[in-house]
Amino acid sequence: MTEKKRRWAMVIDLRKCVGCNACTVSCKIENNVPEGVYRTWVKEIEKGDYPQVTRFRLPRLCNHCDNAPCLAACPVQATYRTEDGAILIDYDHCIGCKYCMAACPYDARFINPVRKTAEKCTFCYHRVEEGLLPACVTTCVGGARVFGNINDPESLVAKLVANNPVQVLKPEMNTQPYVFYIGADQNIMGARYDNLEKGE
Amino acid sequence: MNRRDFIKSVATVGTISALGLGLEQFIPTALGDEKMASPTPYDHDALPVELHIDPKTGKVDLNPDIALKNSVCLGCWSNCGNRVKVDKKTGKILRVLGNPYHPSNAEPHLPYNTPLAESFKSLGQYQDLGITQRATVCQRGNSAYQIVYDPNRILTPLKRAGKRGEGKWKPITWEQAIQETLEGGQLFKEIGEEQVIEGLRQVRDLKTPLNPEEPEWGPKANQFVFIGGRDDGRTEFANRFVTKSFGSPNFYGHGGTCGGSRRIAFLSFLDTWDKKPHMKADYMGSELVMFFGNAPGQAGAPFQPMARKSALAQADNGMKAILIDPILQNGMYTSPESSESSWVPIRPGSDGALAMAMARWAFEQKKINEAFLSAPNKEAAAKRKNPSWTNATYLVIQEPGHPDFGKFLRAEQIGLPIPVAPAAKAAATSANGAPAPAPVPNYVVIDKASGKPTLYNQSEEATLYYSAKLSVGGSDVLVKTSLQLFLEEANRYTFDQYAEATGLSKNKIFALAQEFFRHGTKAATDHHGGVAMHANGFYSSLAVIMLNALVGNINRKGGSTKSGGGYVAIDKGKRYNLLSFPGMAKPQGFKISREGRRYEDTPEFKKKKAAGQNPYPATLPWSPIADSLVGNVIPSMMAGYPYNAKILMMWMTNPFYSTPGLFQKDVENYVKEPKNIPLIISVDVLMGDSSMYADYIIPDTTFYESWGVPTVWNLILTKVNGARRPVVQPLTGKTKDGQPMSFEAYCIEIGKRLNLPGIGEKGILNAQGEPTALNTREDFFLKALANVAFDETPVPSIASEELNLTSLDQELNYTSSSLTPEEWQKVYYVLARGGRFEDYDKCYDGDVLHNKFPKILAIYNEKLGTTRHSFSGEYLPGTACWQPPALADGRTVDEVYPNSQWPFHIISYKPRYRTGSYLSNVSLLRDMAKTNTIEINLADAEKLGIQDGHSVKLITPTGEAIGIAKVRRGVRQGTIAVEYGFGHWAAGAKRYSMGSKNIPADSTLGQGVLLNLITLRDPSLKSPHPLTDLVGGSTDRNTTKARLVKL
Amino acid sequence: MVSNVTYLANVVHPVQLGILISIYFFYTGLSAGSFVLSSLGTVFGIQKYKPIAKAGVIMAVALLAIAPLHLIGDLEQPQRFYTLFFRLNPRSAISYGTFLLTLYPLNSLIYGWFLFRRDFATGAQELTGLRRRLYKFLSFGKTDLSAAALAKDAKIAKFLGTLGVPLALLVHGYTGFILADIQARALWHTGLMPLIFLMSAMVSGTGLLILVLMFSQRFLSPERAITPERKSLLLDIAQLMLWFIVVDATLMIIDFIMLYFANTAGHAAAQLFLYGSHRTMFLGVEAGLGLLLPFIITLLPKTKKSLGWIGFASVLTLIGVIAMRINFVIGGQQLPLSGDTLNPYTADPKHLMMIGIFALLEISILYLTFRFLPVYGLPQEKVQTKLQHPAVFRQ
Ligand SMILES: Nc1nc2c(c(=O)[nH]1)N[C@H]1C(S)=C(S)[C@@H](COP(=O)(O)OP(=O)(O)OC[C@H]3O[C@@H](n4cnc5c(=O)[nH]c(N)nc54)[C@H](O)[C@@H]3O)O[C@H]1N2
Ligand SMILES: Nc1nc2c(c(=O)[nH]1)N[C@H]1C(S)=C(S)[C@@H](COP(=O)(O)OP(=O)(O)OC[C@H]3O[C@@H](n4cnc5c(=O)[nH]c(N)nc54)[C@H](O)[C@@H]3O)O[C@H]1N2
Ligand code: SF4
Ligand code: SF4
Ligand code: SF4
Ligand code: SF4
Ligand code: SF4
Ligand SMILES: [Mo]
Repeated sequence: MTEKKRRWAMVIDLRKCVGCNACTVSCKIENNVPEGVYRTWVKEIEKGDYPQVTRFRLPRLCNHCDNAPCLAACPVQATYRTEDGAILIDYDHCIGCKYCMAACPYDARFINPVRKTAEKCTFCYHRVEEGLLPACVTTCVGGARVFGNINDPESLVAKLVANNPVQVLKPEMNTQPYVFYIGADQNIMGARYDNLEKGE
Repeated sequence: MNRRDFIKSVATVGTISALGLGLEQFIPTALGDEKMASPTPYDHDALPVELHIDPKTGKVDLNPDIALKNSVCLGCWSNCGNRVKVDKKTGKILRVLGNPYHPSNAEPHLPYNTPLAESFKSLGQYQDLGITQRATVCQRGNSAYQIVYDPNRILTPLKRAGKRGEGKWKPITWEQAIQETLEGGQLFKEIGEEQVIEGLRQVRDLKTPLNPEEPEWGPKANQFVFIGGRDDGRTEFANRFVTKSFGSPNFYGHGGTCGGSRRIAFLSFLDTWDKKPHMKADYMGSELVMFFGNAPGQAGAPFQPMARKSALAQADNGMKAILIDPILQNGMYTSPESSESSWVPIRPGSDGALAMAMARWAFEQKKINEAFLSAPNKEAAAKRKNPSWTNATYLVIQEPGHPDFGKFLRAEQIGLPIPVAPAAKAAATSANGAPAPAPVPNYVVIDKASGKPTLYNQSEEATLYYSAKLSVGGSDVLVKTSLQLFLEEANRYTFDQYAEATGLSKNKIFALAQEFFRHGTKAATDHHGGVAMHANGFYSSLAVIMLNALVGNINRKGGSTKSGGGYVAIDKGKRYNLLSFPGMAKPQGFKISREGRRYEDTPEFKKKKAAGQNPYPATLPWSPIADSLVGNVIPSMMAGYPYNAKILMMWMTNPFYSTPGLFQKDVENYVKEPKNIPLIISVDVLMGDSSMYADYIIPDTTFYESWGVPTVWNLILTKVNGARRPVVQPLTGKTKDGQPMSFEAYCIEIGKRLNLPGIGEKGILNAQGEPTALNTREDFFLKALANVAFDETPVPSIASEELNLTSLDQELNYTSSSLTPEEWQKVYYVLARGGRFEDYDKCYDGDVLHNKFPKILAIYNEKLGTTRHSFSGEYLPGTACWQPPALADGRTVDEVYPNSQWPFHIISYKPRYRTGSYLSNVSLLRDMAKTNTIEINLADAEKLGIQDGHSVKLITPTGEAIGIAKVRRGVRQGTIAVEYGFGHWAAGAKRYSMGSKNIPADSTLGQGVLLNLITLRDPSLKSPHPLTDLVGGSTDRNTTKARLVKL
Repeated sequence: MVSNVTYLANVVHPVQLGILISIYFFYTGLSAGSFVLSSLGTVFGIQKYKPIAKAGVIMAVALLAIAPLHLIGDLEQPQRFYTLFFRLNPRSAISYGTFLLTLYPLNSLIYGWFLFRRDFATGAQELTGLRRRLYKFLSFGKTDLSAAALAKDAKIAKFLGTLGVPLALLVHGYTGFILADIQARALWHTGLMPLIFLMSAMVSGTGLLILVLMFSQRFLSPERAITPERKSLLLDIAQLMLWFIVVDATLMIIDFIMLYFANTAGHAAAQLFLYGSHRTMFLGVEAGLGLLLPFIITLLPKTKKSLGWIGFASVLTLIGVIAMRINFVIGGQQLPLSGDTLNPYTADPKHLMMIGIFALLEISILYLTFRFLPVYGLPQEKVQTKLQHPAVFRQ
């Protein structure tokens, strides 16, 4: 039997996320992400009626979807998929049409105001290719972020996914994300519209 | 062109487009202005990788262009390790990673003898080592390197060229800065100031009294006042210079504005006043940790270990976290395993009430650990497998008016026979020349078995509660056990009263107590600034600490730990004596901050007493058992009490910004007038909010350019000594002899010119007592590292492979004179690993901690109980108790500022993306938070018609501030919270000039509100003075009452 | 449901496809609408619409010449736009759009040329001066005016027109389709989206056609007048518009009913437009001013016969459809995907400037084409004089 193809995935164990945003900052340094835009960030909410209030965190990044709407949307094939499942952007060919951004259900993409192309998390492909780990994973203070080859049953990511109930963002979109969450609160997974309905 | 051609050409273009279908390579290159290569998989803008690890074999290949240097972070004052990635070509820091050897970076950390090459695997995929051996730095640790490259860093000495605070500076030479600050004179004649200023030489006078009429205050040298920052591993150098070489007692850290009263409460509990031990909960072994205002994911000392261990403990070990805090801070990690974690919104300043109520409940419900508390000595405790013991059963004299009131009863006072201590044994314990410990007094307990007064070490089990008269020296004297005193304090208030004080229901209090005591020794409390930084901070802290004594968790896994501490470093070590030196000065007299000595010892008291006056109250309050009362320093100067200062020197601190209740117009005016403080020298890396008022600014190296031997504050159960070294060449200018301009270079130069002891060719004695040099900063810190390397079992010498990997020998060549070759090989070993670290398996010995606090614990503290309040003249309670926050005259804050007029409490808390007043110039962090907000509960906001983003005005008895509202669920009703670290008026937010160079202001650096400008002062004092905890010395920052208005 | 959640931290995601894209959609809509109207006579053989065939096609081409400029202007890397032709992504609707956007105007151009050839050829021979030279050039030497040639012209025109109609519908339908295709955005992701876009294209296309016809017939046609026949045709077109409005509004109502009862995101979108902050732009401007009022004007016996009222109604439809494009394009992205507030949008001043310049360019092109091309036939007097020399005419 041939070895299954490598498929990069990230598991974020929210029980261990301390909301420090070391991930956000390290990602910006590693990838030279300009001010005001973020490849990863940590969403945080407060839930409950006083005084029964709890805080929930949700680190966010590109899901490197198997069925990636951004990939489908890109009219010039600047967005592409690597052998091991990472969705990347070819900055030399991105025309900056922003359709991928409209198409991504996860707000994962943005325009790099300096480079003037679409941009998003690369799974730190430049590091991963060298046998290293993504910057955010390496510096995750709580140890929430775990990265690896999910097709290797011996890997930690595979084991975490196998041994825990995991969630993905907006499964109804059928994008098949490869960022898995353990212990996410439903209230933080998507958008909230209650504020909007009040109108003005 | 005919029609046919036309159509044809249209068709062609169309076909080409239609058939193009991505096959761009078929298109003539003329059409393409860029390379049509296959997609670029690598990010052009990403950093170069530091190494390559073969995911199959684990083979590591370093990138030859990159150096990885293990050092120590100071992004906040936690002193975690780090591994700095430096571009060899440019010499610049590219990124900062964690050091897997350092216990603050990794859980567990690598065994110390792991070869360096192996340690690189903690970055990679190989065997998932990058996950299991992950070594991290936090958000600030990642980004703080940007301060090195702040374009407005101060790199040469500056001299004031306009009025103080006016923002006019001129760059001067190092020599001029040394010369003028040393020799004084008419330094500012050129700008029309005729005043003759005394320099360090004139002020360094250890003979002439500063006040000839009351010489006891001390010599003139005391008028050199030094304010330094938190321990960054250089502080001991500063302390040595100021107190031991220069001879002034006025050396301050920022303790009094940091967590002062908590530290002092621990000194009281641990009855240790020479060193500064304190305790934290051992999260990893705990079932329940009650965080009293010390949320582990928010700030914390040390931040990283607190955040990580609390998260892992909650997720993996099911530790419950109860956050007792007016604000729902980060720290409950919503792990299902710890689902009973909860938030308890307590009324600010009332932790003492809650803790005492919990204690009362435990006494009533018989939930205290009697087996632990009733052991009167170490041996008795050990028999019951308790790794610690207390003075709970010791008798205290409580007879009013008795000359020994508040003292422990001594066996000799009631004629108990005293066995002669074997002298030889005592001598043996004090090997290697350390001063022999003072003999233990002959405490008395009531032996449980006999019911009789017994010498404490002759009883197996003693009575816990006792209150009776004993015949002492012929008269009946009331004595009580320590625990009895504590019990009486707990019973002083009813549960209803406690409930009212805390704003919590009685049932909530009972539930909390039940939960806490249910877990026995696997429950512990943890606290810091939230409890301590109130006018009642000391007793509240002590009450919170005491809960640990009641469950008996000290030195136990999952209980309270004093931490592993460090190896001998800046001390009397195996290689060098960095503790003392020939000719060392012993500061005389009183400290300007009115701390550390009793009011009763002052000339003022004596004079009043002699004149037959009531000596109480003192002119300004005294805090005999506290230290580091930095908040009192300027107020003392302003009052001229006990004396005023001639030279103020600041280093690594920003006291005008960081001291609550201090910097109002009156203080600013005082500081601006050179007649008041004739010379202000600041050592800073940028034009800080305080440094802007200096006369001279001396440049300093940032922590990436400095040496330091810091340990970790606490929470690490194993021994830690970080080794901070310059990982980049300092950007500051160089002195004539090639030293980078820095604080150390300045002190050494001054010391040499003044011929101060402990500095220069013979500055440091080695272990054999021979003099060695202290000419450079390396001389000092490398010798400290040699001590570390040789302590206990010396570390191995560095392997040649590791030397090749690090090139340390080449890098440190310029300092080779500091150590002997043998020392070098071991110091390299330490430097290569970024410090010396005890192995993780030394955390526990079974169910107890490996590194224990070795002494008795004080339920009652004699020193405390025999100290008088300098205003009322009354004795202080010697055990924990509930006292509401009050002014010096005893009136409570709520009495003076009633809720009817001041319905809100405002409190501040530590910024996540800044450190104190520091790091506002780090753009990466500003990108995370540009400003703070005025946080208010949803219900309060609705009442006031306030919504998110509204502009609101905070009004306090001392001032007003305008900010942006943030409406939250997780804020206590009736409380307002404002994050600290914002609202700068300088540090980049104010324009200044340097010669002809104009440094414009960047207003984004100053956004937000600084609460310290409007926090309470003590209106019962005659001169401007922050509200202070007179016992523990904290400058109150969290008791301020306020109103809020929508704008 | 009363929320018990408050946001503490999240990153703001500003709207990406903004005003330029909205206006681009507006232009393509106008173009498609014009083309369809043009084809009514030539393709569908409805005789009474024959006179507007040429005007329609000119508008279709002129509008579609400018429309893509908005697209290119919106690119962050406009200089790379040409790669759209060479790096086709078979899964990307936009990729196909590139070719539609190329083929449709080309086809329209050729179609238009065949409509005009007779006039060019005639004019090349009979006119003088600038026009002669221009028409001569534009006839590309095809001056055969034989009945056979003309019939062939008509045949080709019909063929191209027939091709053009689906192209036009595709061009505009696809703009709706690329939105509908985006599952992420609740407001867009409905099967009705292409139809809605098409119908509003018809509404606005008709509106603009009426205005252009009125203006050009009055000022630029050889007659310099809106003759009674023209007026009756205009009123007739206005009645067409009435029906387009009815269909458009119906589609819109169906769409909102579906949204309202769809998933939470869809419901929120409907709420936003019906009750929320977009109410004024949607119910007020888009529906009220843009559909309801023109509907009433074109319905009421008095107003529907008045050119003034009809013109007014036409202006309103344009405003309404611009509003519709903005509401859907920008509003669709304002609905948060991860946040709890509307995604912000601020129009880039550069983009606004571009829109202004492109609009001026468009007006100039329309003016010049209507001024110099024989949209309404050749200038009367001159042609008549020339006609006295049939030999020359026949050559
Ligand atoms: N309202 C309110 N007030 C508070 C607090 C609070 O939570 N709320 N927290 C309190 C606490 S806990 C503390 S510890 C204090 C902290 O107060 P301070 O001890 O005054 O420390 P920082 O505010 O961090 O200021 C550090 C200063 O050192 C300078 N600096 C940084 N690096 C270097 C260096 O390498 N060399 C030199 N020479 N200078 C350097 C920076 O420019 C900065 O001005 O603030 C206290 N004040
Ligand atoms: N991110 C970050 N981390 C830091 C620092 C930093 O500046 N930034 N500084 C470091 C330093 S110097 C220190 S001293 C430590 C301080 O660590 P902590 O003492 O844990 O931090 P603070 O924010 O000062 O603590 C104040 C906390 O107490 C709460 N609080 C306020 N009043 C009360 C009260 O009356 N009762 C109770 N129970 N809670 C109350 C506040 O809401 C807040 O959560 O953090 C260190 N770590
Ligand atoms: S998360 Fe968004 S950007 Fe990332 S692969 Fe999925 S659709 Fe594309
Ligand atoms: S913005 Fe770039 S990556 Fe995104 S769809 Fe357009 S060309 Fe592709
Ligand atoms: S994997 Fe790399 S690019 Fe992606 S969020 Fe983490 S650090 Fe950023
Ligand atoms: S670094 Fe890790 S723990 Fe910190 S916020 Fe990011 S995911 Fe959470
Ligand atoms: S906790 Fe403090 S010392 Fe540790 S990495 Fe973060 S900023 Fe640096
Ligand atoms: Mo502190």
